Amino acid sequence: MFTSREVERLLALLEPTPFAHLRAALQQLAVQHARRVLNEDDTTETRAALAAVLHSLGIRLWELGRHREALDAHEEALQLRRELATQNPARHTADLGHSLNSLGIRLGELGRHQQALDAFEEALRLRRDLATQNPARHTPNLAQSLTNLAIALCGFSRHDEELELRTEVVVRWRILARLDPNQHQGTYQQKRDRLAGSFAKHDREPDEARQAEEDLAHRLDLET
Amino acid sequence: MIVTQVRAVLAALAGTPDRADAIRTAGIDRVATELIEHERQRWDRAAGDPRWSLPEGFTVEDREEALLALVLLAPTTFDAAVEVLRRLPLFRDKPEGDLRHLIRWAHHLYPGAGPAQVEPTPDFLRDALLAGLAQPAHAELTELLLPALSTQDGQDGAGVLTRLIRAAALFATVAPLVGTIVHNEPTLLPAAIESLVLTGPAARVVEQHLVGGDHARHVHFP
Repeated sequence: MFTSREVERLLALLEPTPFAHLRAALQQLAVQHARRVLNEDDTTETRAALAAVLHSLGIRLWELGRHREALDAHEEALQLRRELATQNPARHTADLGHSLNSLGIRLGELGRHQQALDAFEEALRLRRDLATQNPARHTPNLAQSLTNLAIALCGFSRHDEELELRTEVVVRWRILARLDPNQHQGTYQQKRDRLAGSFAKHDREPDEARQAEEDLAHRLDLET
Repeated sequence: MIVTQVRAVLAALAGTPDRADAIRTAGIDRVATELIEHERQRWDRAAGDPRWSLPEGFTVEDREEALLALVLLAPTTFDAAVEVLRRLPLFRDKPEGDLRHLIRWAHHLYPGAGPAQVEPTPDFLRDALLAGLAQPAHAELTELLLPALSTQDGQDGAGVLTRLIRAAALFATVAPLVGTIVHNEPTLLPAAIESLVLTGPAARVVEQHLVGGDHARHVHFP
């Protein structure tokens, strides 16, 4: 008997190995299983479980270059998570953010830049709300969304907006570093250095990066 | 490392300088072929040894098929070993005593822990023998033996898979046999994956034979 727990165990076993085809095949089994369970018992939990394995399948298929199938899996997961987040935002919005973020990355890699931008913008909106509610937990994901959107905007030559978002990444890490220096000070410094590089790339002075950071930090402090 | 040592031994046994040079630089398949050829001569010599009382009716090919079957399925008792040989039509109607003589002969050549066990060492030799088993000449033998795994308990099947997957890491021709076993008995897929992970990237050639089939169709979720 091949249980869903067995599939999970084998996937964990394969995780650090180069056997990407097997990982994808097992993930497809996990999706089949989740669909069957959902057909038998349609609940929030079984829908969330199907969305989770579809999301993972999208990642696995993408690793293999099976882009069309990967996008299908990501889009189905996104659809499920949209419905779940509408019913219970507190529980499912973070997962919806993950799906939008993954889909945005994949669309960008396929050259569908406007759709990628839309996905990143939506993910960012959701993650801003989440980070407001629980900064320690959701700020790293918010920073990731800010970075992804900044990269996408760069592709549209919208450099002022790009630098503004990159500045916010630094300020978000600065806030976390203030809450827990041991955990986040290193990341904050790293992002700060990168911000100076991004400003320099667009012929802006390093001092401007520092000033932009201070201005935004002050503004966010006022807002909170 | 072991291949280098085998090359050196075979080169020393080569007979002529040209042949020795060829073996020193030979690829792994050629080394395996040369090694098995030397082993065949040893099998022949041992077959003529009155201690094993091999019936004259068994041809060289019969003996080789028996030996390979015992190496592949690795039965641990005389009864199990007789059972393995009985799966092959050419031994199906032979007296049990004759089969036991064959098993003792094979055990003498490659002694395992128990009196009926046949365990070639080093691993390279076992892998080379299994690679030989994967050749078209033995297709009928593997067709008869591999489906039989489904009637054994899971542990035996897992052991066979482990041996084949390790051999496939050196000899790619063994890999399809792994796919055949899992196709016949999908419940062995987890065991195959565990062996694959333990063997590591060298066994990558096996992967396509595990995902290429329609195993999922046979997998039953509770």
